[in-house]
Amino acid sequence: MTTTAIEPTTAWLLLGAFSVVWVTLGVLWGRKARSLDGYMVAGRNVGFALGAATCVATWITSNTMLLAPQLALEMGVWGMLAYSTASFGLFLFAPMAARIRDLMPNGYTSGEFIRLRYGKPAWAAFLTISLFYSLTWMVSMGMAAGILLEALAGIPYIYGMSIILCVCVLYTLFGGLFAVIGTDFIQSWLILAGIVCLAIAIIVHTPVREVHATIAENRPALLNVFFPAALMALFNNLLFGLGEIFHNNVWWSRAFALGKGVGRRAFAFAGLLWLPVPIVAGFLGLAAPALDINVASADMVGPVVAAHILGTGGAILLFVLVFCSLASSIDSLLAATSDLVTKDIVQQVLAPSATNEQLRRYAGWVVIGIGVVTWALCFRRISTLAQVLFFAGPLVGSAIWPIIAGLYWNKTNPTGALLAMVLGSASGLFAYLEIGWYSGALVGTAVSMVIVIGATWLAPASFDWRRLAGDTTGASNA
Amino acid sequence: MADADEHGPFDAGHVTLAWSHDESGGEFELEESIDGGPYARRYVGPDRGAFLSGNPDGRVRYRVRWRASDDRPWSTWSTVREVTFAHHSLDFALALFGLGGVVFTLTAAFVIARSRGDR
Repeated sequence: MTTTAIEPTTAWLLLGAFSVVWVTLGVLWGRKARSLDGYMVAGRNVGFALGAATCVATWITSNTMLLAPQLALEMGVWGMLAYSTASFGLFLFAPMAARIRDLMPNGYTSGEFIRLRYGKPAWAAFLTISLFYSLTWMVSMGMAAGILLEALAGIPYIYGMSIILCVCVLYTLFGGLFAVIGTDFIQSWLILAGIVCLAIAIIVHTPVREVHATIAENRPALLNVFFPAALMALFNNLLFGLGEIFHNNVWWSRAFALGKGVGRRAFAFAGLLWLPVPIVAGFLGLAAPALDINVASADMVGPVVAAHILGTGGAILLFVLVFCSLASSIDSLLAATSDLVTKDIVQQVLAPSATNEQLRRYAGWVVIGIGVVTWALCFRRISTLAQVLFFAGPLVGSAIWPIIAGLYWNKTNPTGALLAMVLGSASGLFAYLEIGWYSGALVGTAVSMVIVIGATWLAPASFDWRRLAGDTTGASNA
Repeated sequence: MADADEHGPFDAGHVTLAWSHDESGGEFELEESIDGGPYARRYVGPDRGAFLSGNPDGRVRYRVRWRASDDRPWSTWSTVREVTFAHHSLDFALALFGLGGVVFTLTAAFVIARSRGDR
C-alpha cells in the first residue's frame, strides 16, 4: 500500500515530543540514581501505585499489541485466550516477589539467586538462558518499533527502530530504575486509556454476532474447540509466560525495588489490569475476516485492523499506545539486563574488586552496549515476531522449576537444577523444531519439572536459606 | 506475469501467500479452489500477499492475476500453487493439552501451597 494512516509530519512531531519528554524525565529522575542501589533497585522502597503501574506497563509490550491479534487470526478464540493467560505469570509471581524480598533483602538480580542457591555451573546455564531470552525479547521489540512506525506513518524502518532504541537507552542511562519506574507510571496511564478507547471503538464498529457469522462461514477452524494447534498453544503460552516472569531480572529487580509488603499486592493487581488487554487486542485479529480486510503479514493484523476501524484519529491513538508499550518494556529490559550483566558478569568475572561507584559507572556502559547490540541485530528484519520470541520459549520454560523449587524447597540440589535447565531446554527446542513453536515451552517445562522433582527426591540437599541474605555484593559462592 | 509463493507450516491451518509483478501499482486478484472444486475469488486489491488462516484439512489451489487499472484487461493466471492442509492429530494435541494442564496445575499448586506457609 502506498498511503499511510498517519501523515509523516504528524508522526515525526509525536515521536519528537515523546522522545524529549522521556529523556528529560530520565535526566531529572537520574539525580536520585547516583548510588548503585538508586540506579539498580530505585532505593528499595517503591510504593504500590508505582509498583503496580510499572509491572503492568512492562508486561504490555509491543508483542501484546501485535502477537495477541496474530494468535487470534492464526488460532481463533483459543489463540486470543492463550495470550491472555500470560497474566497468570503476574498472579503467581506475586507471592514469589514477597519471598524473594524476604530471602534476599540486599539482592540485585535473579542471577545472584541462582549462583548463591545452586552454584556456578547452574548459574552459567541460567545466565545463558536469561541473556538469550532478554536479547530475543529486546530484538522483537526493536523490530516491532521499526515495523509499526513504517506501517502507520511511513517512517522508514531503520529510522523508527533507531530512534525508539536510542531514546530508551538515553533515559535509562541517565535515570536507571528510578526513571524506568517513573516513566512506566505515566506510560501505563496512557496505555490503559488507549486500550479502553480501542475497546469501545471495536464494540461500536464490529458487532460480535457479525464477526462470529463471518468466521463460521469462511474460516470455520478458528471457532473449532478441537483445533489441534490451538489446543497445544494454550498451555504452551501459559507456561511460556510463567517462565518469562519467574526467571527474568525485569521482574526480580521489581521484587527487590518494591517496599516491604508491597510486591504481593502490586503484582496481583497488575495481573488483573493486564488480563483483558490481549483479549481487546486479540479481537482485532478476529475482526479482520468480518471486515473483509486483507492481511498480507500476520504480525501486522492488529495495526491494519485498528487503523481501518478508527481512521486517522485511531491510528494516532494506536501510535501513542504502541510507542508507550514499546518504551515501557524496552527501558525495563535495558535496566534489568544491564543489572544482570554488571552484577553477574562484570563483578563476578571481570572486575571482582570493583567498588559500588565503579559498578554504577559500568552499568551505564552496559546499557549503551546492550542498546548497540540490539540495534545491530534489529538492523536486518530476521524473521516474524512470533518466530523470534517463541524460540526462547523452551529455554525459559525449563527455568520455571529450578526457580520455584529453589525458592521454596531447601532440599532441591544443584545438579538437578542444572540438568533440568539443560535437558529441559534441549527437549523443548526439539519439540519446537519437530512439532511447532506452540509446543516448545510446554515440553521444556514438563521435562524440567520431572527432573527437579526426581532429583530432589533421589538426592535431597540441605540448603541454608541464610546464605541468600548474606553477602550478595561479590563474594564467590560456588 | 504474476507469481505466487507459499510458506508453511500447513499443520496449523494457515498459509502466507506472496506474489509479485514487474510493474509497480495495479491490482491483483487471488482465487482459491478447495479440494478440486471451482475457483472462487479470495481477494482483489493492491496488496502483494495474503495470510489465510482457519483452513480445515484438505487440498487448496491458489492462482493470481494482475491488471494495471480497472479499464485494463487482466493478465493470464499465474502458475497454480497447491497447499495441503493437514492438522496435527487430535489425539496428539489432546495429549499435549493434558500434559500442559498437569504441569501448570502442579506448578501453580506448588507456588500457592508453599506461599501460604510463607505468610
